[in-house]
Amino acid sequence: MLGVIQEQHPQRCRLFAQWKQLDFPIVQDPINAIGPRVVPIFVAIDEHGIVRDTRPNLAAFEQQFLARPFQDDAPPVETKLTPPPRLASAEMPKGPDRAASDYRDYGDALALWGEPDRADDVLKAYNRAIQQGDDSGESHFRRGVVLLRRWETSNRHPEDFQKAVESWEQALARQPNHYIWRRRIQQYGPRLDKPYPFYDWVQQARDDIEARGETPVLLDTEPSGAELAAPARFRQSAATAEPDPEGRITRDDGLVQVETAGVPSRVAAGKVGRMHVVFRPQSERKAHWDADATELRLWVEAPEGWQLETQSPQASDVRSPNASRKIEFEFQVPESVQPGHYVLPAYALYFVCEDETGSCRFVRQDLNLSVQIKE
Amino acid sequence: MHRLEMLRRVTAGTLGAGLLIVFATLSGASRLQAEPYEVRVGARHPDFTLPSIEDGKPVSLSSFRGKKVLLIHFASW
Repeated sequence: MLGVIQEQHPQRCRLFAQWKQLDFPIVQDPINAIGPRVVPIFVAIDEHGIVRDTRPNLAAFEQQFLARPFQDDAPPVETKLTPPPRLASAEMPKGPDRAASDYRDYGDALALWGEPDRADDVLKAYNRAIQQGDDSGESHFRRGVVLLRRWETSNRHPEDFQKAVESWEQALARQPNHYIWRRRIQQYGPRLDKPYPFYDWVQQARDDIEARGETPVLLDTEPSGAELAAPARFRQSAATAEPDPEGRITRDDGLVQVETAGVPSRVAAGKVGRMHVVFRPQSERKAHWDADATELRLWVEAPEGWQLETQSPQASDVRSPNASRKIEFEFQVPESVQPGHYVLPAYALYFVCEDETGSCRFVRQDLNLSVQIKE
Repeated sequence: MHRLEMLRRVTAGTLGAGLLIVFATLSGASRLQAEPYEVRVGARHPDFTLPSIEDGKPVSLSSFRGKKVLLIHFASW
Protein backbone atom coordinates (compact mmCIF):
# COMPACT_ATOMS: atom_id res chain seq x y z
CA MET A 1 0.00 0.00 0.00
CA LEU A 2 1.08 3.54 -0.65
CA GLY A 3 -0.82 6.47 0.86
CA VAL A 4 -0.91 9.97 -0.57
CA ILE A 5 -2.28 12.62 1.76
CA GLN A 6 -4.01 15.71 0.53
CA GLU A 7 -3.72 18.16 3.41
CA GLN A 8 -2.28 21.62 4.05
CA HIS A 9 -0.38 20.32 7.12
CA PRO A 10 1.18 16.90 6.46
CA GLN A 11 2.43 16.62 10.04
CA ARG A 12 -1.14 16.18 11.18
CA CYS A 13 -1.41 13.07 9.06
CA ARG A 14 1.77 11.82 10.67
CA LEU A 15 0.05 12.10 14.03
CA PHE A 16 -3.01 10.37 12.56
CA ALA A 17 -0.84 7.54 11.19
CA GLN A 18 0.82 7.13 14.59
CA TRP A 19 -2.56 7.07 16.31
CA LYS A 20 -4.05 4.49 13.95
CA GLN A 21 -0.75 2.59 13.73
CA LEU A 22 -0.66 2.75 9.97
CA ASP A 23 2.52 1.01 8.88
CA PHE A 24 2.50 1.54 5.12
CA PRO A 25 4.47 4.31 3.42
CA ILE A 26 2.65 7.63 3.19
CA VAL A 27 3.72 10.59 1.08
CA GLN A 28 2.48 14.17 1.19
CA ASP A 29 0.85 16.17 -1.59
CA PRO A 30 -0.16 19.48 0.05
CA ILE A 31 -0.35 21.31 -3.29
CA ASN A 32 -2.58 18.65 -4.89
CA ALA A 33 0.07 18.08 -7.55
CA ILE A 34 -1.22 14.65 -8.51
CA GLY A 35 -4.66 16.12 -8.91
CA PRO A 36 -7.37 13.97 -7.30
CA ARG A 37 -10.50 16.01 -6.79
CA VAL A 38 -11.95 13.89 -4.00
CA VAL A 39 -10.77 11.57 -1.26
CA PRO A 40 -10.60 8.71 -0.66
CA ILE A 41 -9.61 7.21 -3.97
CA PHE A 42 -8.23 3.71 -4.42
CA VAL A 43 -6.16 2.72 -7.42
CA ALA A 44 -5.05 -0.88 -7.83
CA ILE A 45 -1.77 -0.93 -9.79
CA ASP A 46 -0.28 -4.21 -10.91
CA GLU A 47 3.35 -5.30 -10.79
CA HIS A 48 4.00 -3.68 -14.20
CA GLY A 49 2.68 -0.28 -13.12
CA ILE A 50 -0.60 -0.75 -14.98
CA VAL A 51 -3.87 0.43 -13.45
CA ARG A 52 -6.23 -2.50 -13.05
CA ASP A 53 -9.02 -1.00 -10.98
CA THR A 54 -10.13 2.36 -9.64
CA ARG A 55 -13.13 1.10 -7.67
CA PRO A 56 -11.92 -2.16 -6.13
CA ASN A 57 -14.57 -4.65 -5.17
CA LEU A 58 -14.26 -5.54 -1.51
CA ALA A 59 -15.52 -9.07 -1.81
CA ALA A 60 -13.45 -10.03 -4.82
CA PHE A 61 -10.30 -7.94 -4.31
CA GLU A 62 -8.04 -10.80 -3.38
CA GLN A 63 -9.09 -13.00 -6.30
CA GLN A 64 -9.40 -10.23 -8.87
CA PHE A 65 -6.21 -8.44 -8.02
CA LEU A 66 -3.86 -9.78 -5.37
CA ALA A 67 -3.82 -13.42 -6.42
CA ARG A 68 -3.96 -12.81 -10.15
CA PRO A 69 -0.87 -12.38 -12.35
CA PHE A 70 -1.09 -9.69 -15.01
CA GLN A 71 0.53 -9.28 -18.39
CA ASP A 72 2.69 -6.29 -19.19
CA ASP A 73 0.32 -5.23 -21.94
CA ALA A 74 0.23 -1.43 -21.83
CA PRO A 75 2.40 1.04 -23.71
CA PRO A 76 4.98 3.01 -21.75
CA VAL A 77 3.94 6.37 -20.36
CA GLU A 78 6.16 9.43 -20.40
CA THR A 79 3.95 11.66 -18.29
CA LYS A 80 5.08 12.45 -14.79
CA LEU A 81 2.71 14.02 -12.34
CA THR A 82 5.32 15.86 -10.28
CA PRO A 83 8.50 17.74 -11.17
CA PRO A 84 11.82 16.12 -10.25
CA PRO A 85 13.22 17.09 -6.84
CA ARG A 86 16.43 18.37 -8.45
CA LEU A 87 14.44 21.22 -10.05
CA ALA A 88 14.18 22.79 -6.59
CA SER A 89 17.93 23.38 -6.67
CA ALA A 90 17.79 25.19 -10.01
CA GLU A 91 17.31 28.89 -10.57
CA MET A 92 14.04 30.55 -11.49
CA PRO A 93 13.40 30.22 -15.23
CA LYS A 94 14.47 33.36 -17.08
CA GLY A 95 13.91 34.88 -20.47
CA PRO A 96 10.89 36.12 -22.42
CA ASP A 97 10.26 32.81 -24.17
CA ARG A 98 9.73 30.67 -21.12
CA ALA A 99 6.34 28.94 -21.00
CA ALA A 100 3.94 29.31 -18.12
CA SER A 101 4.41 25.60 -17.39
CA ASP A 102 8.13 26.18 -16.77
CA TYR A 103 7.28 28.60 -13.97
CA ARG A 104 4.61 26.39 -12.51
CA ASP A 105 6.84 23.30 -12.54
CA TYR A 106 9.54 25.32 -10.81
CA GLY A 107 7.05 26.59 -8.24
CA ASP A 108 5.79 23.04 -7.65
CA ALA A 109 9.32 21.73 -7.16
CA LEU A 110 10.12 24.43 -4.62
CA ALA A 111 6.78 23.96 -2.87
CA LEU A 112 7.41 20.21 -2.51
CA TRP A 113 11.18 20.11 -2.00
CA GLY A 114 12.44 23.59 -1.19
CA GLU A 115 13.32 24.92 2.23
CA PRO A 116 10.49 26.67 4.09
CA ASP A 117 12.17 30.06 3.69
CA ARG A 118 11.83 29.83 -0.09
CA ALA A 119 8.11 30.73 0.02
CA ASP A 120 8.78 34.10 -1.61
CA ASP A 121 10.42 32.36 -4.58
CA VAL A 122 7.57 29.88 -4.87
CA LEU A 123 5.04 32.68 -4.97
CA LYS A 124 7.07 34.55 -7.60
CA ALA A 125 7.05 31.43 -9.75
CA TYR A 126 3.30 30.87 -9.43
CA ASN A 127 2.55 34.54 -10.01
CA ARG A 128 4.72 34.46 -13.10
CA ALA A 129 2.95 31.33 -14.35
CA ILE A 130 -0.40 33.08 -13.96
CA GLN A 131 0.89 36.21 -15.72
CA GLN A 132 2.19 34.04 -18.56
CA GLY A 133 -1.30 32.67 -19.09
CA ASP A 134 -1.65 29.69 -16.75
CA ASP A 135 -4.77 31.05 -15.12
CA SER A 136 -5.84 27.56 -14.06
CA GLY A 137 -7.42 26.48 -10.82
CA GLU A 138 -4.28 24.49 -10.12
CA SER A 139 -2.05 27.57 -10.15
CA HIS A 140 -4.38 29.54 -7.91
CA PHE A 141 -4.86 26.68 -5.47
CA ARG A 142 -1.13 26.05 -5.09
CA ARG A 143 -0.46 29.74 -4.64
CA GLY A 144 -2.99 29.73 -1.80
CA VAL A 145 -1.27 26.77 -0.14
CA VAL A 146 2.06 28.56 -0.15
CA LEU A 147 0.56 31.87 1.00
CA LEU A 148 -0.88 30.17 4.06
CA ARG A 149 2.36 28.33 4.61
CA ARG A 150 4.27 31.62 4.58
CA TRP A 151 1.70 33.22 6.89
CA GLU A 152 2.45 30.51 9.44
CA THR A 153 6.14 31.45 9.56
CA SER A 154 8.08 34.45 10.77
CA ASN A 155 8.41 35.60 7.13
CA ARG A 156 4.67 36.20 6.89
CA HIS A 157 3.06 39.18 5.24
CA PRO A 158 0.02 40.34 7.24
CA GLU A 159 -2.37 39.83 4.32
CA ASP A 160 -1.15 36.31 3.45
CA PHE A 161 -4.01 34.46 5.13
CA GLN A 162 -6.70 36.54 3.42
CA LYS A 163 -4.93 36.20 0.08
CA ALA A 164 -4.65 32.45 0.57
CA VAL A 165 -8.43 32.24 0.99
CA GLU A 166 -8.94 34.41 -2.09
CA SER A 167 -6.59 32.22 -4.12
CA TRP A 168 -8.51 29.09 -3.14
CA GLU A 169 -11.74 30.82 -4.04
CA GLN A 170 -10.28 31.66 -7.45
CA ALA A 171 -9.37 28.00 -7.87
CA LEU A 172 -12.82 26.79 -6.86
CA ALA A 173 -14.49 29.29 -9.20
CA ARG A 174 -12.66 27.56 -12.05
CA GLN A 175 -13.47 24.03 -10.88
CA PRO A 176 -16.50 24.19 -8.56
CA ASN A 177 -16.67 20.41 -8.18
CA HIS A 178 -13.17 20.11 -6.77
CA TYR A 179 -13.90 18.75 -3.33
CA ILE A 180 -10.34 18.96 -1.96
CA TRP A 181 -10.06 22.62 -2.87
CA ARG A 182 -13.47 23.29 -1.34
CA ARG A 183 -12.38 21.54 1.87
CA ARG A 184 -9.35 23.82 2.09
CA ILE A 185 -11.68 26.84 2.34
CA GLN A 186 -14.10 25.03 4.66
CA GLN A 187 -11.19 24.30 6.98
CA TYR A 188 -11.21 27.99 7.97
CA GLY A 189 -14.79 28.90 7.17
CA PRO A 190 -18.11 29.15 8.99
CA ARG A 191 -19.46 26.12 10.84
CA LEU A 192 -22.54 26.08 8.62
CA ASP A 193 -20.31 25.29 5.63
CA LYS A 194 -18.64 22.29 7.22
CA PRO A 195 -20.14 18.88 6.44
CA TYR A 196 -18.07 17.52 9.35
CA PRO A 197 -15.20 18.67 11.56
CA PHE A 198 -11.57 18.64 10.51
CA TYR A 199 -9.23 18.06 13.41
CA ASP A 200 -11.51 17.29 16.32
CA TRP A 201 -9.65 13.96 16.64
CA VAL A 202 -6.26 15.46 17.57
CA GLN A 203 -6.68 15.52 21.35
CA GLN A 204 -8.12 12.00 21.42
CA ALA A 205 -5.21 10.83 19.29
CA ARG A 206 -2.71 12.32 21.74
CA ASP A 207 -4.46 10.77 24.73
CA ASP A 208 -4.56 7.33 23.13
CA ILE A 209 -0.95 7.48 22.01
CA GLU A 210 0.25 8.50 25.46
CA ALA A 211 -1.85 5.75 27.00
CA ARG A 212 0.20 3.31 24.91
CA GLY A 213 3.39 4.74 26.40
CA GLU A 214 4.42 6.57 23.24
CA THR A 215 5.18 10.22 22.60
CA PRO A 216 2.79 11.84 20.12
CA VAL A 217 4.27 13.35 17.01
CA LEU A 218 4.73 17.10 17.47
CA LEU A 219 2.70 19.33 15.19
CA ASP A 220 4.34 22.31 13.54
CA THR A 221 1.02 24.15 13.46
CA GLU A 222 -1.70 23.44 16.00
CA PRO A 223 -5.26 23.25 14.69
CA SER A 224 -7.50 25.90 16.20
CA GLY A 225 -10.83 27.63 15.95
CA ALA A 226 -12.58 26.77 12.72
CA GLU A 227 -10.42 23.68 12.27
CA LEU A 228 -11.82 22.19 15.46
CA ALA A 229 -15.39 23.47 15.18
CA ALA A 230 -18.22 21.06 14.57
CA PRO A 231 -20.84 21.83 11.94
CA ALA A 232 -23.58 24.03 13.39
CA ARG A 233 -26.19 26.50 12.38
CA PHE A 234 -25.47 30.15 13.09
CA ARG A 235 -26.79 31.12 16.49
CA GLN A 236 -26.58 34.43 18.22
CA SER A 237 -25.65 34.30 21.89
CA ALA A 238 -27.11 36.44 24.66
CA ALA A 239 -26.12 40.11 24.89
CA THR A 240 -23.29 41.16 27.19
CA ALA A 241 -22.36 44.51 28.64
CA GLU A 242 -19.90 46.63 26.68
CA PRO A 243 -16.61 46.69 28.59
CA ASP A 244 -15.38 50.20 27.68
CA PRO A 245 -18.25 52.27 26.26
CA GLU A 246 -16.58 55.60 26.95
CA GLY A 247 -13.22 54.66 25.53
CA ARG A 248 -11.34 55.29 28.73
CA ILE A 249 -8.85 52.41 28.47
CA THR A 250 -5.38 53.50 27.32
CA ARG A 251 -4.69 52.72 23.69
CA ASP A 252 -1.94 50.31 22.72
CA ASP A 253 0.93 52.28 21.12
CA GLY A 254 2.19 49.42 18.94
CA LEU A 255 2.95 46.55 21.28
CA VAL A 256 0.58 44.16 19.50
CA GLN A 257 -0.02 43.95 15.76
CA VAL A 258 -3.40 42.73 14.56
CA GLU A 259 -4.17 40.90 11.31
CA THR A 260 -7.64 40.02 10.09
CA ALA A 261 -9.09 37.74 7.45
CA GLY A 262 -12.67 36.89 6.52
CA VAL A 263 -13.74 33.47 5.22
CA PRO A 264 -15.20 33.50 2.65
CA SER A 265 -13.48 36.61 1.36
CA ARG A 266 -16.80 37.81 -0.12
CA VAL A 267 -19.97 36.97 1.77
CA ALA A 268 -23.28 36.65 -0.04
CA ALA A 269 -26.36 38.44 1.22
CA GLY A 270 -28.12 36.44 3.89
CA LYS A 271 -25.12 34.20 4.47
CA VAL A 272 -22.63 33.64 7.27
CA GLY A 273 -18.97 34.59 7.34
CA ARG A 274 -16.20 33.80 9.78
CA MET A 275 -13.78 36.48 10.93
CA HIS A 276 -10.24 35.55 11.97
CA VAL A 277 -8.42 38.12 14.13
CA VAL A 278 -4.81 37.38 15.00
CA PHE A 279 -2.84 39.24 17.68
CA ARG A 280 0.97 39.23 17.51
CA PRO A 281 3.20 40.71 20.23
CA GLN A 282 5.88 42.78 18.52
CA SER A 283 9.35 41.38 19.07
CA GLU A 284 11.04 44.75 18.34
CA ARG A 285 9.40 46.11 21.49
CA LYS A 286 10.02 42.81 23.35
CA ALA A 287 6.29 42.72 23.87
CA HIS A 288 4.77 39.63 25.40
CA TRP A 289 1.52 38.49 26.98
CA ASP A 290 1.09 38.86 30.71
CA ALA A 291 1.28 35.32 32.08
CA ASP A 292 -0.78 36.26 35.12
CA ALA A 293 -3.55 38.16 33.37
CA THR A 294 -4.47 36.37 30.18
CA GLU A 295 -7.66 38.10 29.12
CA LEU A 296 -7.90 38.95 25.43
CA ARG A 297 -11.32 39.86 24.15
CA LEU A 298 -13.00 41.75 21.37
CA TRP A 299 -15.99 44.02 21.44
CA VAL A 300 -17.69 44.14 18.03
CA GLU A 301 -20.36 46.53 16.85
CA ALA A 302 -22.57 45.27 14.07
CA PRO A 303 -24.32 47.45 11.48
CA GLU A 304 -28.10 47.55 11.56
CA GLY A 305 -29.58 44.17 10.66
CA TRP A 306 -26.34 42.24 10.94
CA GLN A 307 -26.09 39.49 13.53
CA LEU A 308 -23.04 38.45 15.47
CA GLU A 309 -22.46 35.04 16.98
CA THR A 310 -21.25 36.92 20.00
CA GLN A 311 -20.53 40.58 20.50
CA SER A 312 -17.60 39.79 22.79
CA PRO A 313 -15.57 36.79 21.58
CA GLN A 314 -12.55 35.89 23.62
CA ALA A 315 -9.21 34.20 22.94
CA SER A 316 -8.11 31.05 24.68
CA ASP A 317 -5.38 31.18 27.29
CA VAL A 318 -1.79 32.07 26.56
CA ARG A 319 0.22 29.14 25.16
CA SER A 320 3.50 30.94 25.37
CA PRO A 321 4.27 34.60 26.15
CA ASN A 322 5.41 35.48 22.64
CA ALA A 323 3.02 33.36 20.59
CA SER A 324 0.28 34.85 18.47
CA ARG A 325 -3.29 34.47 19.69
CA LYS A 326 -6.43 34.28 17.64
CA ILE A 327 -10.06 35.17 18.07
CA GLU A 328 -12.63 33.85 15.58
CA PHE A 329 -16.31 34.64 15.41
CA GLU A 330 -19.14 34.33 12.91
CA PHE A 331 -21.53 36.93 11.62
CA GLN A 332 -24.67 36.80 9.50
CA VAL A 333 -25.32 39.37 6.84
CA PRO A 334 -28.90 40.55 6.16
CA GLU A 335 -30.63 39.45 2.96
CA SER A 336 -31.13 43.07 2.00
CA VAL A 337 -27.48 44.11 2.16
CA GLN A 338 -26.03 45.68 -0.98
CA PRO A 339 -22.73 44.54 -2.53
CA GLY A 340 -19.69 46.45 -1.39
CA HIS A 341 -17.29 47.01 1.43
CA TYR A 342 -18.51 47.16 5.03
CA VAL A 343 -16.80 47.63 8.35
CA LEU A 344 -17.49 46.04 11.71
CA PRO A 345 -16.11 48.58 14.20
CA ALA A 346 -14.46 46.77 17.07
CA TYR A 347 -11.87 47.05 19.76
CA ALA A 348 -9.68 44.56 21.57
CA LEU A 349 -8.79 44.60 25.25
CA TYR A 350 -5.78 42.74 26.60
CA PHE A 351 -2.89 42.67 29.04
CA VAL A 352 0.51 43.05 27.44
CA CYS A 353 3.98 43.62 28.80
CA GLU A 354 6.96 45.43 27.33
CA ASP A 355 10.58 44.30 27.80
CA GLU A 356 11.62 41.42 29.97
CA THR A 357 11.20 43.37 33.18
CA GLY A 358 9.00 46.09 31.80
CA SER A 359 5.60 47.12 32.91
CA CYS A 360 2.48 45.22 32.05
CA ARG A 361 -0.57 47.16 31.03
CA PHE A 362 -4.21 46.66 30.23
CA VAL A 363 -4.77 48.33 26.88
CA ARG A 364 -7.26 48.80 24.11
CA GLN A 365 -6.74 48.66 20.35
CA ASP A 366 -9.42 49.99 18.03
CA LEU A 367 -10.04 47.93 14.90
CA ASN A 368 -12.04 48.10 11.70
CA LEU A 369 -12.95 44.58 10.61
CA SER A 370 -13.54 44.61 6.85
CA VAL A 371 -16.27 42.56 5.22
CA GLN A 372 -16.81 42.39 1.47
CA ILE A 373 -20.32 41.61 0.27
CA LYS A 374 -20.59 39.68 -2.98
CA GLU A 375 -22.11 41.05 -6.18
CA MET B 1 -14.61 10.81 3.42
CA HIS B 2 -12.74 12.47 6.21
CA ARG B 3 -10.44 9.87 7.66
CA LEU B 4 -9.31 6.31 7.48
CA GLU B 5 -10.74 4.15 10.25
CA MET B 6 -8.33 1.22 10.37
CA LEU B 7 -9.43 -1.64 12.60
CA ARG B 8 -6.08 -3.32 12.83
CA ARG B 9 -2.48 -2.94 11.83
CA VAL B 10 -1.67 -4.06 8.29
CA THR B 11 1.31 -6.39 8.36
CA ALA B 12 3.15 -8.12 5.61
CA GLY B 13 1.80 -11.46 6.73
CA THR B 14 -1.80 -10.36 6.72
CA LEU B 15 -1.62 -7.89 3.84
CA GLY B 16 -4.56 -9.36 2.02
CA ALA B 17 -6.81 -9.50 5.06
CA GLY B 18 -5.64 -6.09 6.20
CA LEU B 19 -6.50 -4.56 2.86
CA LEU B 20 -9.96 -6.05 2.97
CA ILE B 21 -10.48 -4.52 6.37
CA VAL B 22 -9.33 -1.15 5.05
CA PHE B 23 -11.82 -1.40 2.24
CA ALA B 24 -14.61 -2.40 4.57
CA THR B 25 -14.10 0.44 7.00
CA LEU B 26 -13.34 3.07 4.38
CA SER B 27 -16.23 2.15 2.14
CA GLY B 28 -18.64 2.13 5.04
CA ALA B 29 -17.46 5.46 6.33
CA SER B 30 -17.36 7.27 2.97
CA ARG B 31 -19.72 10.19 2.64
CA LEU B 32 -18.98 10.72 -1.04
CA GLN B 33 -19.12 8.65 -4.14
CA ALA B 34 -15.51 8.81 -5.29
CA GLU B 35 -15.10 10.30 -8.72
CA PRO B 36 -12.98 8.35 -11.16
CA TYR B 37 -9.37 9.32 -10.69
CA GLU B 38 -7.77 10.73 -13.84
CA VAL B 39 -6.11 7.47 -14.72
CA ARG B 40 -7.40 4.84 -17.12
CA VAL B 41 -7.81 1.18 -16.31
CA GLY B 42 -5.47 -0.71 -18.59
CA ALA B 43 -3.03 2.18 -18.91
CA ARG B 44 0.18 2.62 -17.02
CA HIS B 45 -0.10 4.96 -14.04
CA PRO B 46 2.06 8.06 -14.53
CA ASP B 47 4.98 8.21 -12.17
CA PHE B 48 5.23 10.72 -9.36
CA THR B 49 7.73 11.57 -6.64
CA LEU B 50 6.58 13.05 -3.36
CA PRO B 51 8.12 13.57 0.09
CA SER B 52 7.59 10.94 2.74
CA ILE B 53 5.68 12.25 5.76
CA GLU B 54 8.21 10.50 8.01
CA ASP B 55 11.45 12.06 6.87
CA GLY B 56 10.72 14.20 3.83
CA LYS B 57 12.77 11.96 1.54
CA PRO B 58 11.56 11.35 -2.01
CA VAL B 59 9.39 8.33 -2.69
CA SER B 60 8.51 7.46 -6.29
CA LEU B 61 5.68 5.26 -7.45
CA SER B 62 8.11 3.66 -9.90
CA SER B 63 10.18 2.33 -6.97
CA PHE B 64 7.37 -0.14 -6.33
CA ARG B 65 7.64 -1.68 -9.78
CA GLY B 66 7.57 -5.48 -9.49
CA LYS B 67 5.02 -5.37 -6.66
CA LYS B 68 1.30 -4.81 -6.66
CA VAL B 69 0.38 -1.44 -5.21
CA LEU B 70 -2.82 -0.23 -3.68
CA LEU B 71 -2.57 3.54 -4.02
CA ILE B 72 -4.83 5.42 -1.63
CA HIS B 73 -5.45 9.17 -1.79
CA PHE B 74 -6.83 10.27 1.54
CA ALA B 75 -6.86 12.90 4.28
CA SER B 76 -6.96 12.68 8.06
CA TRP B 77 -9.97 15.03 8.20
